[in-house]
Amino acid sequence: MEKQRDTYWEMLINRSVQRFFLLWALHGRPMHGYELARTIKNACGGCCDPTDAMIYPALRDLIESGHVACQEETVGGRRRKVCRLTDQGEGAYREAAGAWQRMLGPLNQAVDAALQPSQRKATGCMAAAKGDKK
Amino acid sequence: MGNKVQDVGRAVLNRDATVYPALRDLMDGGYLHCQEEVTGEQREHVCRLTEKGKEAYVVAARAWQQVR
Repeated sequence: MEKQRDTYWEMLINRSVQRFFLLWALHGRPMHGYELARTIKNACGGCCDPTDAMIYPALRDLIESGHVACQEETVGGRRRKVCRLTDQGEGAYREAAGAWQRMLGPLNQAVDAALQPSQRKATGCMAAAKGDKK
Repeated sequence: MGNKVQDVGRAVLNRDATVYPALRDLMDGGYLHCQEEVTGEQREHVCRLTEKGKEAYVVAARAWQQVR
């Protein structure tokens, strides 16, 4: 696949970033699948648009490994599968946050070195995740 | 003697589980050009970005810029 194309890098980046945002979204707040997708999308400011094809396999993986637990609940008159992080999942979220934290400094340097000074301000997913979740 | 040194070079290229497959992938795609050079007393593989590689680096940085 051609590495001068945006799509190659966006695919590669989204694959790891979206999993982290999934843990972040469920951290401290149970959600159903649709809500989860919307929360991740808002957090990214449009830079990642999680599809069902991403959300549900990732959720299933996290459920099987005991990081997420889901149960059917009635939400606004509809039966929904509501998912929350288990204690193990909360631990994984902290681990993942630590791993990203260690990566961000070197990553920022490598990104800045390629860009003009006026293009360097952080505005995307990572900047959004630092803000409060509404 | 020459062969041995070359073997060391190859061993270095095979050493790391994540970096070297990525290097090889980039070489195969024409993003990197690597050649053996003598630095001090050792022969080492020295790699440089090609024009195509420089372009890919800027595109990758812009993609990360969208995220951070």
